[in-house]
Amino acid sequence: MNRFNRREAIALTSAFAGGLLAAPAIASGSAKVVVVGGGFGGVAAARELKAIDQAIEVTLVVEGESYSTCPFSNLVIAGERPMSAITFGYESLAAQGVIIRQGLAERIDGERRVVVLEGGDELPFDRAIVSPGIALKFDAVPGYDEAAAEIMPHAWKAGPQTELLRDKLAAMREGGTFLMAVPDNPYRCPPGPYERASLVAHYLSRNNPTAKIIIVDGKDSFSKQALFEQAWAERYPGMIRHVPFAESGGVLGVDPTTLEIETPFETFVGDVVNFIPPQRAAAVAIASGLTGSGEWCQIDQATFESEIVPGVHVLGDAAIVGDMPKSGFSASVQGNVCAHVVAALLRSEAPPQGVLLNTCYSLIAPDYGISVAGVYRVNGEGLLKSVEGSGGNSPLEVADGFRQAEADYAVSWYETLTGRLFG
Amino acid sequence: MVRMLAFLGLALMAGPARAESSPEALTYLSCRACHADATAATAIPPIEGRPAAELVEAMTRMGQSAGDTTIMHRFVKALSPAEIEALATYVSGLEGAAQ
Ligand SMILES: Cc1cc2nc3c(=O)[nH]c(=O)nc-3n(C[C@H](O)[C@H](O)[C@H](O)COP(=O)(O)OP(=O)(O)OC[C@H]3O[C@@H](n4cnc5c(N)ncnc54)[C@H](O)[C@@H]3O)c2cc1C
Repeated sequence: MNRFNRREAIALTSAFAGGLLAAPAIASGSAKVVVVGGGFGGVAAARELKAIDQAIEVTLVVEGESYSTCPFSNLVIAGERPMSAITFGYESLAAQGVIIRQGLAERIDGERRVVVLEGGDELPFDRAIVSPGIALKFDAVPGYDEAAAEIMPHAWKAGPQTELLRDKLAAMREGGTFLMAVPDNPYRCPPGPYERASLVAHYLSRNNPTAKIIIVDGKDSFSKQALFEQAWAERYPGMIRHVPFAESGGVLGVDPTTLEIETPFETFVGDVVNFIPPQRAAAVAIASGLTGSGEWCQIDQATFESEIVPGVHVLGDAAIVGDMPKSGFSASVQGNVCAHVVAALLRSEAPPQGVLLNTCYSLIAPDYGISVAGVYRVNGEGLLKSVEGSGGNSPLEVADGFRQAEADYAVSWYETLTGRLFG
Repeated sequence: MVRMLAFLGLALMAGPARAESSPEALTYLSCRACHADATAATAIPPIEGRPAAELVEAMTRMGQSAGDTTIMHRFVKALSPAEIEALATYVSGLEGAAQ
C-alpha cells in the first residue's frame, strides 16, 4: 500500500471518474477562462487548460488568423526557410475545444472580470491569462517611429517585418554594410540579435562575401558572448564588428533618409539598417493597469497572478517572471504551469508548483548551434530564482560534432514545441 | 479494500494522467518542450514510456559527469535524487496514457 502515493491517488480519481462516471473529476464545469494573446505563452496556457479539464470554457483572443514565430525567423531572414515554415494557424486549438476569438483585446477589466474587445464586445471570465508579448517603443529614439521601421526594419515581431529585412538583405549592394542596433536589457530574446548577426553573416559569406556587419550595442556585454565571438572568428573572420556601449556612448538618434545611426562618438551608416528599438509590455497590459507605473507587468512569481489586478495572470515577455529570460521556451513553460495554477484556483485548491526550465538555442550557421540553459524554482520568499550550480552555456572547448549536435537539437526543439502548441 | 485495490489496478494500467498537477508532472511540462512523443523522429530522443530505471540511470549519470552530453547535465544538477526518481516514474508511465 506504500506505493499508493499522492500522484497515483490523483491518477486513480481521474481514472475512476473518467472511466466509471464519465464526468471530469474536477467540479469546474462552468468556469470561464479568457486567454489574451495567441503566441507561445497564450497558446500553451489555453491548450493545457483543456488537457487538464475539458469542462473549463477557454477562449483564446488572437490578433490574426495565424501566428509567425520569432524563433527561426532569423533563418527566414537568411533565406534558409520560407515564411510559411514559421507560420501556424489555430485550427488544432479549436479542435481541442478552445474557442478562438479573433480581434484585439482593448483592455482587461479586473474589477468587472471582463475582457473588452476592440469594438466593444465583452468576454466575461473567472480568471484571465494574459501573454500579449512586447510593444516596440516608437517614442524612445529620436527619428525611429513606425514610418522609419518601414525603412529600417526591426523585424523583432515576426511577419511582414521579417520579410522586409530578408528582402533588403538580399538586395544589398556588393560589399555593403548591414548595420544593426541592439537595445539595452531587458528586451525580447537576449541572444536573438547575435544569432541574427551570425545568420546574416552566413548568408553574406555565400552571397556577398565582401559585405560587413556592424552591431551598435546598447550594452557592454551580451548573452553567450564568448561563444558568439569564438564562432564569428572561426566562421566569419573580419566580417562582424561589435561596438559595445562604452565605445559608442549609445544611440542618440537615427535618420531614415540617410540610413544613419548617430552616437556621441561616431555616426554609423548602413546600406541596410536593422534597428531593434527598446521595448516594453504590449499596449493591452498598460491599458489594463497591469504594469503599474512601470513598463513590465509585476506578478506573483509562484502563481503569475498580477500584483495589481487580482484574477488576472500575466506571463511571457510582457511580465517580469523572476530570473527567467524573455524567450518563447520560457513563455510556453510558464503558460503550461499557469494553466495548472489557474485550474487549481478555480477549484479553490492550493496552486501546484514544479521546476521550470528554459533553453535558448542560437544558430551560428545551420550546422553550428550553441545554447544557454536555466533551471528555476520558487524560493522561500516566493521569487522564481535560477538554481545555483545548474544551467549555463555550452562549453567553449568541444569535441567534433558537438556544435552540429546542438544545431540538430535546436531544430528538434523547434519542431517539437511548435508541434505541441499548434500541431 | 478490495474496491480500493481494484481502483489502484485500474489507475496503474491507465498510467498517470499526463495533465495531472503533481510536482513531477509540472516539471515534465518543461521537458516536453524538447522531448517529443515516442512516434516522432527527432534528434532529441523521446522519453515517454521508457523504463523508469533507465531514465534514473541516465539522469544520474549525466548529473555526475557531462561526458558528451550537450545540455541535460545542466538541468539534472538542479534536481535531487528523489525528484529524479519521481520524474522518471511519472515519465515512464506516460506511454499509452490517454491524451
Ligand atoms: C529574432 C528573434 C528570435 C527568437 N528566437 C527565439 C528562440 O530561438 N527561442 C526562444 O525560446 N525564443 C526566441 N525568441 C523570443 C520569443 O519570440 C518570445 O520570447 C516569445 O514570442 C514570447 O511569447 P509571448 O507569448 O510572451 O509573446 P508573443 O509570442 O509575442 O505572443 C503574443 C501574441 O499576442 C498578440 N497580442 C498582443 N496584444 C494583443 C491584444 N491586445 N489582443 C489580442 N492579441 C494580442 C500578439 O499579436 C502575439 O501574437 C526570439 C525572438 C526574436 C525577436
